[in-house]
Amino acid sequence: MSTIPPEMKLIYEKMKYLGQKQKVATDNLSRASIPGEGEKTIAPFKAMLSPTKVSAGSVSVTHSGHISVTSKGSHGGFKVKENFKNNEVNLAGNAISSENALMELNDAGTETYRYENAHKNIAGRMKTIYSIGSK
Amino acid sequence: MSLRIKISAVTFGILLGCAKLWAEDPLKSAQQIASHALEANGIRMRVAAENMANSRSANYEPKSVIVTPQVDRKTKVSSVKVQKITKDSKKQKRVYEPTHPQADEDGYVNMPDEDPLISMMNMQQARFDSERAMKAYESATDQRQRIIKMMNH
Repeated sequence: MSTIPPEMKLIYEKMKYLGQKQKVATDNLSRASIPGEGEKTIAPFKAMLSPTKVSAGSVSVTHSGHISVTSKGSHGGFKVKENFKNNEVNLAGNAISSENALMELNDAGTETYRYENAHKNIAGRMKTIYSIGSK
Repeated sequence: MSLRIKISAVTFGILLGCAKLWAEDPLKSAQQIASHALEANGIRMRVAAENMANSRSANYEPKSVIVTPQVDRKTKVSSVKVQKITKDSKKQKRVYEPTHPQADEDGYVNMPDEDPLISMMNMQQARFDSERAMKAYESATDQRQRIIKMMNH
C-alpha cells in the first residue's frame, strides 16, 4: 500500500514530462543533419493536464490548471503528443532547428533541477510534520 | 490508520514514485538515441578522414555516408543509423603523371576528384553533431542522477 501526496504526484508527472521532452529534443538533435526530416514537438505541460473536477475539501477545483490540495484528489494525467510539423527548410535541407533543440534540452535540465529542489523541500517539510506528530 | 503506518505508506509511496521515474523509458530512450547518433557521427568522421587522407591516392574512390532515421521495433525508439557507405567511382579525374607507378600506358593516373576542403567541412559538421549528441547524453544522464538523488530526500 502506498500513499503519495498530490504535490509529489504532480512533481513525478512533471518529471515524466521532462523526460519525454528530453527524448524529443535528443531525437531532433540526432536528425539535425539529415535532409528532409521534420521537427518533433511536445505540447506544453499545462495544456496536457486533463480537465478534471476535483473536490478539495470545501474548495472545488474547477479548472484543469488548478492543483488539488486534497490528499485524495487527482491532478489529472497528461498525454504526450509528438507533432511532426514541417516548417521552413534550413541549410541542412530539413526543418529541424538544432539551436531550438539545444534550448529545449537546457530547459529540461533547469526544470529538473527546480523540481528536484521542490521535491527536497516537500520531503523535508513532511519529515518535520511527521516528527512533530509522532512526539 | 495509525500515524506510523501512514508515515511508512507515504515513504513507500515516495520511494515507489522515484523508482518509477528512474525506470521511466524516455530518459533511457534519450540516452539510446544520443549513443546511436554518436556512433553514426563517429563513422561520418572516419569516412571524412579517409577521404582527406586519400585525396592524392591513385584509384581511390571517395566515399560518402548515408545516415537515415530508423525505429527500433523492440523498444519503439526512433534514432539514426548509418544505412550504407557508398563509393563514388565517377568522382575521379585523370591526371597526367607518367612517373607514377600506377600510371597507364599514356601516363595518366585516376585521382579522386574530392575537394579536401569539402571533406574537412564534412568532418567539422560531424564533430559538431557529435558534440550535440554528447551534450544530450550528458543531460539525460544528469537527469537520471537527479532522480536517484530524489530517492534520498
